[in-house]
Amino acid sequence: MSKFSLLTQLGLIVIAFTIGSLYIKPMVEKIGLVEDKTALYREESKKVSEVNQLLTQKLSIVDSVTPADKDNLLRYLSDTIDDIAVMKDVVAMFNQVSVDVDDIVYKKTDSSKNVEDPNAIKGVMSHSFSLSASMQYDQLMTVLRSIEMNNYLLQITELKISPDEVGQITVNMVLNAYTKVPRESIVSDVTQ
Amino acid sequence: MPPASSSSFIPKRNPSAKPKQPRVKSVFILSVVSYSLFIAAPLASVGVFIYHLQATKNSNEALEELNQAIDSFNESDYFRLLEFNDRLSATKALSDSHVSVATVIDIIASTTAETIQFKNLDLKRVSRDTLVIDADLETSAFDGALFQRGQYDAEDSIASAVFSAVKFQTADASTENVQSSNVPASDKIVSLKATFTFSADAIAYTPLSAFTASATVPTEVSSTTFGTENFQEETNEIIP
Repeated sequence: MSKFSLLTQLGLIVIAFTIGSLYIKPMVEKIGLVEDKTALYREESKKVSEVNQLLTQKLSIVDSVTPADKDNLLRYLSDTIDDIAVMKDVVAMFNQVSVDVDDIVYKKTDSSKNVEDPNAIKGVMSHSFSLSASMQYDQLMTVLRSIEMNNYLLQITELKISPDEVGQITVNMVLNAYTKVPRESIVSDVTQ
Repeated sequence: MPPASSSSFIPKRNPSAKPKQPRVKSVFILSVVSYSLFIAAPLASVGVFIYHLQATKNSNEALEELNQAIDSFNESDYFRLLEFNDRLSATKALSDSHVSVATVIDIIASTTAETIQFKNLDLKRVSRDTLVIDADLETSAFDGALFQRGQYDAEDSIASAVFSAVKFQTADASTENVQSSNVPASDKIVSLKATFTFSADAIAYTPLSAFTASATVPTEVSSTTFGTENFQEETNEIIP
């Protein structure tokens, strides 16, 4: 074999390795990256699909709740409070057992923002109503049961009972009603 | 002996000449390698190029699929679900913390002997789990106080009952109290402070028992406008 032929063959080998190192190797690396991305896309796509499926599933549960139950739920924990209506309801409960309420006062308190409030429930705002009345023991028990059975929550947080001069008992009571704090408020409180 | 004929067509081999050794074809192997590499490199390049195109196509398809999945995510549905979940969770928390004050008073009344007189009662919800009652009590004898303490301790619903500030005095010193209350006439009066602690679990409000307990109580409470308008709007929004 001639010397020229040997050089040619070596040249061919060099060219082959050059092609391999300058084109094939970078392309293989690039393909690896593309395949990694593809795998990531597929994984994320799977996750999003699962979330969508779960969302649909949960929404079907929400939609299966009857309007009456939704109505009850919203009445039990409303978005807003009509303090006059609540006071009217409370007075009506006392009137049902022939007791007149001496006084009733509404006091708005936001226990949801007071971290020291032991009664605070996340996402719930409390509204206090203090009242006083004179009655017999049996009437008091009836009123207490009526309050407990109300269709929206009225929680007695304070109750003072003491006898008065005319043989009745004087009752001072603090009642809490509750409303739901909008989600935006909760989120903004957390982010602040 | 006649000389060897020179006309034979068989070539004569010189016995001294060694047979010609075949040369090692190292250059030929190099040729094979070099030509193979030279052909393989472009072919591999083409293969890699095509595979890259295919991989890119697959990647684009996966990306398109991801975008479609993201687009199909309904944000308003998500917030509707969160809103419902928040309301349900808060309602459950409220419902779980709902205690029956009537039950508390019933428990105290049922475990209190007739010889004990409550002068006043101060109930306070100190935490979601605890309810505390402070009361001023009177009785006619120490035996009555001791018996009563045992009764309260024996009652499972009462987490604790602590007697304090026990004061012993003659009836003359508190004649007015004795007359106003219906404590049996006695020479001596034992007054004390009692602190009752209830755990929320023991006095949790249960609608069924409350309904049974007060079956004769008119339960109809005047209808309220407590957020009704908002509910109607939201119901119309939620229900498809």
